[in-house]
Amino acid sequence: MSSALLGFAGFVLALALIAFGFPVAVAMGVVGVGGFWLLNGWIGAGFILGSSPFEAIFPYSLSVVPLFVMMGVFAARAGLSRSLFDAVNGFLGHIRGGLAVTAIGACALFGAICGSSLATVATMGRVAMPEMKRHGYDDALSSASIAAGGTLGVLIPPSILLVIYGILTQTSIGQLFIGAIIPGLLGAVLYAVAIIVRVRMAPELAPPTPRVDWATRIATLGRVWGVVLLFALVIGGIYLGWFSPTEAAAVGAVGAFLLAVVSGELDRDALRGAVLETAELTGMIFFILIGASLFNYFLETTGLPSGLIGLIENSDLGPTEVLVLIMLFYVVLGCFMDSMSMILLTVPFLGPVALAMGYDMVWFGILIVTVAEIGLITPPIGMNLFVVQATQPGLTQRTVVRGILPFILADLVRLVILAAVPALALWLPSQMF
Amino acid sequence: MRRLAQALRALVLASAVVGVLAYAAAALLTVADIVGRQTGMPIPGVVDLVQLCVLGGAWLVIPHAFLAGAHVGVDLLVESFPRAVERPLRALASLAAVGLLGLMLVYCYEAFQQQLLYGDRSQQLGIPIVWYWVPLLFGLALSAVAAALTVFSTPHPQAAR
Repeated sequence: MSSALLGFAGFVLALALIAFGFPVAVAMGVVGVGGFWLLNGWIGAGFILGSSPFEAIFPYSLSVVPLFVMMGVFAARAGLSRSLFDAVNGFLGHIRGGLAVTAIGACALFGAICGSSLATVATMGRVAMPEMKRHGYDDALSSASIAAGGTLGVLIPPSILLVIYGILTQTSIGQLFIGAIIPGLLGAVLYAVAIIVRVRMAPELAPPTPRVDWATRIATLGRVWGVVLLFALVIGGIYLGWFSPTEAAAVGAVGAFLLAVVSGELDRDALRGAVLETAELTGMIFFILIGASLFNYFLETTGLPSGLIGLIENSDLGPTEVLVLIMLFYVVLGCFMDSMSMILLTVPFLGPVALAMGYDMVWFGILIVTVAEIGLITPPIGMNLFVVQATQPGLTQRTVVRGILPFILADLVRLVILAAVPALALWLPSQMF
Repeated sequence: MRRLAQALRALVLASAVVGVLAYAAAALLTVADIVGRQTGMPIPGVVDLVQLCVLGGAWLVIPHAFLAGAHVGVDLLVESFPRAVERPLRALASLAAVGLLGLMLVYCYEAFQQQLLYGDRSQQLGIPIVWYWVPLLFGLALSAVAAALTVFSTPHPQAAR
C-alpha cells in the first residue's frame, strides 16, 4: 500500500471510529499514532506522543481560545438575550414575519458576543419561541428561524472556528475576523429575506403584530448599550490596530464578566455553571487540537496532501471546479459531522490544495466556516435543530425540519455569492490599520 | 471503591476550577499590560506568563471534559444500536482514550526528563520550561483516570456538575 493510500485509509478509519461513537479527538489521535507507527516505527510514534500534548497548546496565538470562550460564556449568563430581542423587536417586529426576523437579528447580535451557536439557540429559543407562539406564529417557521439564526454566531466574529482555521493554516486571525463581518451580515439579511418571502407565500404563518412607539424603542436600546460597546471595543479594537486578537479576547472576557456582574444575573450557581462550562468547552477544544496534531503528523508523513494536489494538477479541473467539489464535499460531510471536527479533520489536507489552487486563504476560510454553519441546520444531525427542539416541550423534530428548507436555500445562495464575489470577504481586511 | 471514585471526581472538579482561574489570570494580566502600556508600566514578560497560564489551565480542565463527556462525537449511529451493543462500543471508546492518554503520559514524562536535563528557559522571563510540563503531566494523569472512570458509566455533563 502506498503512503498516500495509507493516508486516505487513515482518514476513512477515523471517520468510521467517529461513526461508532469514539470522541473525534480520540479517533484522530488513535489513528494518527497508529498510522505514524506503521510508517516510522515506535520511536517516531513515541516522539509525536511526547511532543503533541505540549506543542499543540503552547503557541501564544492559542490564548485567544479560552479567552473568547470565557467572553461568550459570561455574556450568555448576563441576561442579555431578552434585552437584545426587545431592542431588535422595537424596530423590526411590526413588519410581516417581523418576530421571526427579530429572532434572526437578536441571534446575530447575541451570537456575535457569545460565539457559541448552541448557546445562542438555547438562550434565544427560550426568549423568542414563547413570544412568537403568543402572537400565533407557525411553530415550524419560529423554531427554524431560531435554529438558523443561531448559526450566524459561528461566522460573525469573534469566531472560535475561524481561530482554529487560522492556526491550522497560519492565516491572520485578525484578518479572518474582519473579513467575516460582511459575509455574516449577508447571512442575516438573506435569512430575513427567506422569512419575508416565506410569509408572503403563506401569510397565515405569521399574523401581523403592532408597531412599537419610539419611546419604547429608545428605552429598549438603552438596555443593550453595554453589549454593543463590548462588541465594538473587541472587534473595532482589532480593526483599528489597538489590540492583537489575544488582547481583544482578554478585554472581551473581562468586559463580559463585568457585564454579567452588573446585570445582577451572576449569582453563585451561575458563576459555578460558567466556570464548569468554560472548563468543558476549552477542555474539549484543546484536546481536539492535540488529536488533530497527532493526525496531522501522520497525514503529512503519508504525503496525502501533496498527492491530492498532484492528482488535481494532472486532471482538467480548474480552480472553480475544484472549489465547487470542495464545497460539495463539505456540505455532505456537514450533514453527518460537527463543524469543528470537520474543519480539524479536513483542513490539513484541503488547506494545501487551496494554497496550490491560488485561493486567498482568508476567503477560503470564510467559505469553509460558512459551509460548516450549514451543517448545523441540515438533518439528520444538525445540532441546532435538536437544541431548539429541546427548548420547547412538545415541539417535534419533524416540525423544526419542515421549516428549515428556506434557510438552507438562503445559506446556499450566500455560499454562491461569496464564492463568486471574494471582495465581500476581502475588502474589509484590506482596509485594516 | 465508591469513595475513591468520589474523591477522584472531586479532584477533577477542583482541577477544572483552578484551570479556569488560570485563564482568568491570563485575561487580567493581558488587560493590565494593555493599560500598563498606556501609562508606561507594561507587565514584563506578559507573553511568557499568559502562555504558562493558558497551557497550565488547559491541562487542568481537560480531565473535566473527559468526566463530563464534553468531547464532541457523533452519536447518530451508536444510539440506533441496541443497548447491548451500544454500551460495549462506548466502553471501547473510553478504553481507547485511556490507552492514548497513558501512552502520552509515558512519552511526555520522558520529554519532561529531557527538559530537566537541558534546563531550557522561556524567552522573556527565563521561566524554566519544566514549569510548563508539570501541569501537563498532572492533567494527563488525571485525564487518564477520568477517562477510566467513564468506562463503566456513560458520562453526562449535568451529572459531572
